[in-house]
This record gives sequence, C-alpha cells and structure tokens, in this order.
Amino acid sequence: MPDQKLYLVSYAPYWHNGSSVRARSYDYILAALPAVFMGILQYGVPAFRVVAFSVSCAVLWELLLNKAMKKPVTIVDGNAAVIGLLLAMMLPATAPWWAVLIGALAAILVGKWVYGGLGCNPLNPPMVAFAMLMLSWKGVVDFNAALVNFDLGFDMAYPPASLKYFGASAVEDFTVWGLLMGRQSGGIGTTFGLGLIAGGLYLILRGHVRWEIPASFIAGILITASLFHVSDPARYGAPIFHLLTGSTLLAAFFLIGEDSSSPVNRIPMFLYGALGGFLTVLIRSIGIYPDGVVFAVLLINICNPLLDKIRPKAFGKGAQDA
Amino acid sequence: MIQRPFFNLGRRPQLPYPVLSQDALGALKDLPPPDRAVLLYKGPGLAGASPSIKRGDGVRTGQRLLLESGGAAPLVATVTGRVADISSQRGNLGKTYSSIGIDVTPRDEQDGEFFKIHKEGSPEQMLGYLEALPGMPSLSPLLPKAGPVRILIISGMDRDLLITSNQFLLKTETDALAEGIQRLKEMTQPDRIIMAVPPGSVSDAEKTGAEISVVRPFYPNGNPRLIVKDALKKAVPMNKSLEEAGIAFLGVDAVIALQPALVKGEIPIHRVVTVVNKDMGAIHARARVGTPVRKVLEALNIETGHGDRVVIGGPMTGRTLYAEDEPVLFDTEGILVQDRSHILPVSDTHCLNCGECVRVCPARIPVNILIRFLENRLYQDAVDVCDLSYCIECGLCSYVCPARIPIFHYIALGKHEFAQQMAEEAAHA
Ligand code: SF4
Ligand code: SF4
Repeated sequence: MPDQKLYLVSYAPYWHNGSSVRARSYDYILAALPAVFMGILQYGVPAFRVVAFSVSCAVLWELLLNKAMKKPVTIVDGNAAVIGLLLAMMLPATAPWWAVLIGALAAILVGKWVYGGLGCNPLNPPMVAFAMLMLSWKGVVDFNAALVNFDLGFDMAYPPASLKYFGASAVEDFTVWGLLMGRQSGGIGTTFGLGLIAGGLYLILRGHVRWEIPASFIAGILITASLFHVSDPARYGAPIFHLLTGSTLLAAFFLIGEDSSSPVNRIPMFLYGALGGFLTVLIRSIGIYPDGVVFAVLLINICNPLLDKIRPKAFGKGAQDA
Repeated sequence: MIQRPFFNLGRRPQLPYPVLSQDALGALKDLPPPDRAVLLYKGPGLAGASPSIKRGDGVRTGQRLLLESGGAAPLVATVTGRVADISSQRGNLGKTYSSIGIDVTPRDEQDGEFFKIHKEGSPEQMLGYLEALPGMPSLSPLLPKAGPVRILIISGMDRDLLITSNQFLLKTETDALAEGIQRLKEMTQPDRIIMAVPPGSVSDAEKTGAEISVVRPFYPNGNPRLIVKDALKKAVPMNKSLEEAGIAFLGVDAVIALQPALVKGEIPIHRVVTVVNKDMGAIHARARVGTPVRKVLEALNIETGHGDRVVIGGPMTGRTLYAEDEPVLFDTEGILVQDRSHILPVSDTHCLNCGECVRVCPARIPVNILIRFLENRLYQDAVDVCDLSYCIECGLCSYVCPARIPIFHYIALGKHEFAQQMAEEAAHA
C-alpha cells in the first residue's frame, strides 16, 4: 500500500465495558482503607509498619516469582498488593517483621503461584498465609498475647477468645455500637465493623463482590449462632456478637468472595456463603479455635468446585425452553 | 462504546439498541454506483477448471455467472460491465471466497433470464436464482423440500447494536415490505407469519398484516434464536436448525431485497446500510451491491487512518476488514468505523474466575470453565462439559471480561476446530 494505511484487524466484539483487573484491585484497596485507617489510628506506628511491610513484601515476592518463572510482570494488576493488604488486616499490630515476610511469601507462593497464578488458586491466598502462621507460630496471631501491652481504653481481651474460654458473661460489656466502631481488640483491619461494612457495600455496588455471598454468609452466621445461643445463652454468644467480632466481617466482604476461590452461579453462591457462616460459628462454638473464620473459609474454598457444578441447563438444551 | 456504570451491583449490562422514531429517521443517502464493483461468492467456488466467465467478458445486470464447471457456484451480477479480475481469497477461520471485480459501465443492461423464470418458472427456480445474489442469506427454508414452512418469522430488529437498517427499512418501505410478505405468504403457505419488532415500530409492522411480537430492545434480543424464543414462547433446541423446526427466518432487509424480484421479476441491486462514523453518528445509505467499502466511505466523507478499525456489521459481532476493497453485499447490515483511540486491546491475562461472563451469557454457558478448556485446546471437553455448541454467538462474554480475554474469538476458533476434528474423524471412520 502506498500510504501504508493499515487497519487493525481483530475478532468481535469491538466494544468492551471498560472493566479491568487493575481497576478491580484498586477498588478492593480503596474499600479496605477505612478499616485500615482505623487500625492505624488505634495502634499507631506499629500497625502502619505491618501494613506497609506486608504490602511491599507481597508485591516484591510477586515480582521475584515473575522473574524466577520468566513470566510477564504482573505486579501492576494490583492483585499482589491486595493480598498483602488483606493479610496485614488480619494480623495484630505487633506482628514481627519475619512473620509478615513469611506470611506474604506463603500467600503469594503457596496461596497463588503454585497453582498457576491469578485466577487459578483454589484457596484464598491471604487466608492460606494466615492459617500457616497460626499453625506454625501460634504466638504471632494470639491476639491476647500480642496486644497485651496496648491500652486503648476498652477491654483488650480478644472477644472471641473471651467468649470461648469464659462464656457469654465475659463479653457482656461489649456494645453493638462499640464493636461497630472498632472498640475491640483484633487484627489491624478487622475491628472497625462500620468501615468494613461500608467498604463491603462499595464493592457490592461496584459489582466486584456478588451480594449473594456475603448475604448468605451473614445469614449463615446469624442463624447458626441463634440456634446455639438459644440452646445455652450462658455459654454461647449472641448472633450479633459473632457477626461483629473476630474476622467475620472482613471475611464476609473481602475474603470469601475472592474471585478464584468462590462460585459464580447463583445457587452455589448461596450454599457457599451459608456453609461458610455455619462452619464459622460451629468452629467457634464447639471447635478448639476461638475464631473459626480461617478454617471455615478454607473449607468452603475446597467445596467451591463441587458446588459450582450446580448450574442451569444451557439455552435450548433443557426441558425448560424446549 | 457503552461503559459499565460505576455502580452496577453485578447486574447484566443493559445495552440498548438504538430505536428509530418516525420523526428522527434522517434522510436516506443515495450513493453513486462504483467504477469497479466487487462481487463475492462465499464458498469454495473457482474449484472447477473453467468457470463460465473469464477476464474481459461482458456481464449484464442480473446475469448468472457460474464459477465452476458443471453449473455449480452460481453468482448473480448486480452491475453491468466487464470482468476485470477473478480471484479466490481466504477469510477468517479457513473460509474461502471467490471474488470477481467488474469494471462498471454506467448504463445498466438487464439480463432477461430471471424475468423469464419469474413468468414461467416454479418458485424453486426463482428462489434458487435469487439465492445466488452476492451475500443473500439462504432461502432454502422457504422451499418445500425443507418440509412445509410452518412459521415465517420476519425480524424488524437489527442483530447488532448501532445498526438500524432493518428498522429504517421497516419505517420507510412499509408498503414494499407488506407486498413482499404477501408474496412470500402465497408462495410458502405458512401457518403463521410473525413480525418481531422493537416497540417503536409496532404500528408500521401492523400494516403488513402479520402477527406482532414485540422485542425488548436490549442486546442481544435481536439474535434470531432469541427472537424465535420470544415469538413462540419456547426455544428451538440448539441441536436443531430453525429450518428443521419448520421456521423460516428472514430479516426485513431480505424481504425488501426479494420484493421487486418476487412481484415484478426485477433483480434487486441495492441495499440500505447503516454507516456508523467514529463519533457513533449513523447515516443510512443506499448502495449498489458490489460497491467497495472504500467508495461508501468516500461518498460519505468519512476519513479513516492508520490503526483504525473498519467493521462490517456491528460492534458486538461484526467482522473487521483488512482492506476497504470488500464490497457491500446483501447481508451487509452496516459499516462501523472505529477510531484507533477507541480501541481497547485484548490481553493474555488468565481468567480470574470472576464469573461476569457466566452471568451475562444468554445461553447459560459456564464460560469461566469453557475458556480454560479452549485455552488448552481441549475442544472435545469444551463441547461435552461446557456446551460449546450451545453458544448463540452474541459476544457479550468478551465484552464484560475484566481480564479482557478474547473469549468470543476463542469460541469461534473452538467451534471451527471441533468441526474440523469431527470431519477428520468421519473421514477416517
Ligand atoms: S458469545 Fe459468550 S456470552 Fe454469548 S452466548 Fe456465546 S458464550 Fe454466551
Ligand atoms: S469474565 Fe473473564 S475473567 Fe471473569 S470468569 Fe469470565 S473469562 Fe474469567
């Protein structure tokens, strides 16, 4: 061609709705910020240190793995940063640097890349890392031991642990409003209920988190906890208490809805969420861990591929259309 | 480009079809005939050693040219002139075309053969002749050998977004349409005739005397399979063609094209196309079939540059052009010009499993699993586990994918490769 005018040739469609992986990641980060800020406000520099270090480590591990595996560099998609941030949110402000470093490696390597990277992980990466830290170095994530030197003006005992070991009377002093406003001890980004709910609603409205999953998870928690509570009010906490303590809200809005490890069809989403809520309360009430969220989430992650097999028949295939 | 709303609550995208209203139709622009017309025969053609024409031969409007010895691969000329070149071309996914360039003489000379058939021949002969018009959709569902036509569905919807040719014709050529439908009715004696139209065209469609099925004007409701489901309140199983189900499906454009032929024995030579400029402004233009896209754009003063995209059809399912030499044919509903600054590149990011595609798919296909099979070329599994063959080809999955995977391209390739595999197995069996 004399004028070298070449057209771009590609396959349909020629429109795109403009969504991208990067935008999703940044929205997650944005949504998490209120809860993170509250944590930093409460615990000060130590909390900031954990958050900053965790995010940097996650991104650096991702970069190193990209290079080691000779794959395209994927840190710009923001997923590693999200993983680092969510991990930091679950950790206490006193988490030592080596635990954060190892945790970030576990999340990025064992949680994500051994399966092939973004979208291939069957389990939630920050949860995998947290579970590993919990099983390997119990003290690191024992909130009562970790936060013993802080006095923020409220009961610094970790609420789920108090409930577990001392019964419902030990947590009588927590008010719903106090829990919502973060007047409880716990992970850096898990205590500010209102912030987590606001962030979660933002993600749902933006369409990044399917409402079915948090809704059914919360319903699962409330219903199961009510049953326990009714059976023995002195021993088992009130449903709302379960909902607002530990990492329940963080899990509901930021962890269980993670794309790769959660179902995409509607009925499976409901089952998945409800099962998660049920298991959380079950482990808290009769298991050995004060906060059941970690293992509940990993268990439902495992169920996900099976659950997602429940799907409608294709158009023009089933009896419903023919 | 219609972007996702900031807050979308995970709902399906609502992509409205443009709905034309009577007072905002705009003028129809008549384009001059080209100096050099190109006619395409979509099929192998040119396989026989001696096509009935060669370079330098004179061609009359309406003349039937045979591209293979033995009378196969007929193509009806829509211009008068002299054959300048004959070639075969390759298109997407192994498709082959024969292309005939004709230097057009300004005065049309009519070939009498069709007129004679119209007078004396049978409907089969007539439809067989018309089917050979370049780009004319298959008319075989109208023929008795396909079994009786039980239902004739005429779509006044356009298949793709931005394109409004069918709506425009429905509003501006209502009488011709009614007459065409009447002729088709006499020829095929269907039990029912249904017109599927967007809400704004109901009163026009009623003038044809057909039953009306109102289609909600949101993409992909203009898809033939979905129109049929809407009109009949049940879907034709995907393992059956519409024809096998006794349904003849035609667009308003096809009926308008057939009308002069069926009524007066005149070979149709024009078609109305929607030309969508870079600013998404649409113009309706009537072009001689065979006019190269370049001439259409020139006549409408639409400039294109390096790196732009020129699409035959609409933004969801159209086909991009390598060069502007491709002609307007009877199935050219529209031409879309996209500025290079509006083009979002696809990516090779892995699927996130976000499920957007699954929730948007009108065929309820588990696209998140399907894409994994397709990326790994496991076509058999794609068909068995993920219902690949049930895809109605709307392109929405690619449109919503945040990983920007060219899913629809993978699907087209998958269907093609699977058909290929099946053919090979059949040959070896
Ligand atoms: S193109 Fe995609 S969204 Fe449309 S029917 Fe096929 S798989 Fe479903
Ligand atoms: S929309 Fe894209 S990223 Fe999301 S599940 Fe479908 S293919 Fe995967």
